[in-house]
Amino acid sequence: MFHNGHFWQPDQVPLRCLIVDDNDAFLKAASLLLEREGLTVAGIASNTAEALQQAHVLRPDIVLVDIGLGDESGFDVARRLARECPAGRATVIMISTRSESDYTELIAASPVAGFLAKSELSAAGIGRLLDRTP
Amino acid sequence: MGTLTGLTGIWLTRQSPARRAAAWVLAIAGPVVVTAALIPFRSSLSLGGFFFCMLVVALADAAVGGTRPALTTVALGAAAGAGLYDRSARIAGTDLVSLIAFVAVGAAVGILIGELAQLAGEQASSRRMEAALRRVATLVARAAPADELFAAVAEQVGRLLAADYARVAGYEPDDMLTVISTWTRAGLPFSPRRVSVEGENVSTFVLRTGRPARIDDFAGATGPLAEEARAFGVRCTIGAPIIVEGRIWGVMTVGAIQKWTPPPDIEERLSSFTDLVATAISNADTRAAVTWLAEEQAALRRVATLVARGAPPEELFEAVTAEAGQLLQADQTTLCRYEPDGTATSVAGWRRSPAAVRTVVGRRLKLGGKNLTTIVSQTCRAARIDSYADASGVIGAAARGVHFRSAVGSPILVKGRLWGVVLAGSSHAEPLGPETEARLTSFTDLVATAISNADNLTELTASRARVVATADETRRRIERDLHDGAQQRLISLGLALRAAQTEVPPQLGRLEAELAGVADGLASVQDDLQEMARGIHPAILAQGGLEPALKTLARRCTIPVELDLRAGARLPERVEVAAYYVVAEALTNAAKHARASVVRVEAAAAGRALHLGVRDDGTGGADPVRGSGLIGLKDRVEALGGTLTVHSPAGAGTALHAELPLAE
Repeated sequence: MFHNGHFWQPDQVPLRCLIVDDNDAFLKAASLLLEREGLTVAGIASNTAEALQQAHVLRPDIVLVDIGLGDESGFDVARRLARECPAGRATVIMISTRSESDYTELIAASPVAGFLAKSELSAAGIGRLLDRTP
Repeated sequence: MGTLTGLTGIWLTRQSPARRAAAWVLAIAGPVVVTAALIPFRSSLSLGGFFFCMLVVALADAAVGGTRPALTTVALGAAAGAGLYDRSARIAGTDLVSLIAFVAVGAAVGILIGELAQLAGEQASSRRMEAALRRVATLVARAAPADELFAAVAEQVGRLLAADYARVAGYEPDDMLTVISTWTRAGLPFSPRRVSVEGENVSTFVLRTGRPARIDDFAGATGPLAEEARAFGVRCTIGAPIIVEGRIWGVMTVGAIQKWTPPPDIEERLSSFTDLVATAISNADTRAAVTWLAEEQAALRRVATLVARGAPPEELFEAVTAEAGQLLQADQTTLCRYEPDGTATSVAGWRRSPAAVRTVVGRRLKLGGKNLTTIVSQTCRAARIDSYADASGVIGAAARGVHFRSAVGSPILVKGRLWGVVLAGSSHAEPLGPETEARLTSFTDLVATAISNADNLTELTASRARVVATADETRRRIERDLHDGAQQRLISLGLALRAAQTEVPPQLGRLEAELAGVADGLASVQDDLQEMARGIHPAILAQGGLEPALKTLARRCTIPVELDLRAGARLPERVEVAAYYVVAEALTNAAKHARASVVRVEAAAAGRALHLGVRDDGTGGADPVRGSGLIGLKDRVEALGGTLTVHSPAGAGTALHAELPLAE
């Protein structure tokens, strides 16, 4: 049920997500938008270590991971998340400034649900990827 | 008449003591015998007749012994005639006339025949001398081998001068004499040998004075040569110097065991022969020098060719050591490079005999002590060591270990800086010739040129690589700044705008529409920036390497692309970047200019290089010179030490091939 960009049904608990990105401005803007669209941003992280720690503690439903995480690799984070937090596995979605076609093979080879361009980040987009996930 | 005197002369020149004795016997006994024989016929024989008989004797005497015995006979005959016929009768007028006539005629004829005989003898002698000289000169002219020439000279001189032996010998350094050939009348066999020139004997005198010398009795002579002479019973020996281009090269000696009277002009005669021998030696020396010069030029030319075609250093160094070693007749040559830490590394070596110890290439030895490598490193000039007996240091010991007795070294100076040294060593007792330093320097000059060229090329390549790397680094930075700065801010702005959009109440539809328009505008700017960033630097290479990046290029390309990627795992970054740009440019050209329907891209990492191929079926006609994109690619590829080739015959599609070396 979708109304005005809000994505949840009144009797459902909002999905909780963790955003991993090295750019503070983006984290703030993304958090604001997603909250307004009905997601709960449970936490944010700027690097691999923080991401793993937050994931372990917060047990989010969704993790958004920036592919270009500063000097680190977002795909590495995704792999480690899949390995180290298997219980109640979160759905990992890769995000990037660049476009999906730049990373098609890498995305397909990673334990992730899919990709969202940062400029197209929205609760709806996340929902679509969730629907596809088994 | 000529034949007669010739024949007579041959016999007459044998001035043997026996014959002289016979002449005097005849001169004195002849008149006596004739007188005694004619006494019984005194009465019937006139004085004239008596004198006629005496005249015959005198003539015979003249023929046998020359003028003096003949005149003696005439005098005795006159006295005998006067005395004999005086007793019997008064000295009549006719008798006086007969006496005077006999004396006059006898003397005249005696003198005449004596002179003729002498002349004939001299003529024959000089003809024989000429013949002997001609035989030797023929050998000289046809450049007969040395041993044949010297043997012939010794024989001709010995026979001509009626000696018992004749010898040709050459002076060596260290006061030694090498006897090259000996002729003996008795035909004794002979082999060349070396003798010390010392003491007082003919050879020593000749060497010291540079003039002919003569010894009539070896009793007082000293030295090994004198002892030898005494052992053989040699009595008289005469030696003449062989002077080649102002230098005393050797000596020719003749001598006799029996009593021997050398002709009075023997020194002149010997000189004629020694002059011929000197000419032969000089010719041979000149020929040898010319031949050697030609060989030197050929060797230097071979090395220069290698330098000119930029042969790899190892090949050049091997060639230099081999050519120099052969030419300078060394037993071993080595090329060493000086290292900054006071050691020298053997870089190449050559040895004449396969049995000798091979140079260990790459061996580093510390400089120091008395050895040529150290001396050259200190003086930066050519140097030599004539005896390794007292060589010291690690290198000196090593040199002795390979049986170096002497060596010459020349430095390799590259742009005024000492780079290394070439050493030529000899295992023989005799050191390498004095011109060896200069000759070796010709080779080291060539080596220095080659190293300088190679250095220049290396510097140039490094400089080009640096230019490309700097440009790439700048582009990377720009892309990152763009990404981290403007692009991120735009994204955040876009998100903020969308967040704002969610707050718009439903009744403000127009506001919502305007906000949506701004959002679209923002998205469009982001897309443009994204495209620009992609053109500046392929940041996606950092994440997955070349293969995913090429696949992306293929996806984006507006015409179908077939990929055959066997590039394996990650490659050096500069190679991946270059390969990406090559394929990107090629695909762009294929899509934009070639109007192709399909493009085939191959990438394979094989051993030392990455091979790239991009082929399209378009119109062809791509010109690397006119298309600036391709020139830029060529520069980039070549700066890495790789190659880029483009085959683009008109109408037959374009095939681009690049090879990028993976090693540094």
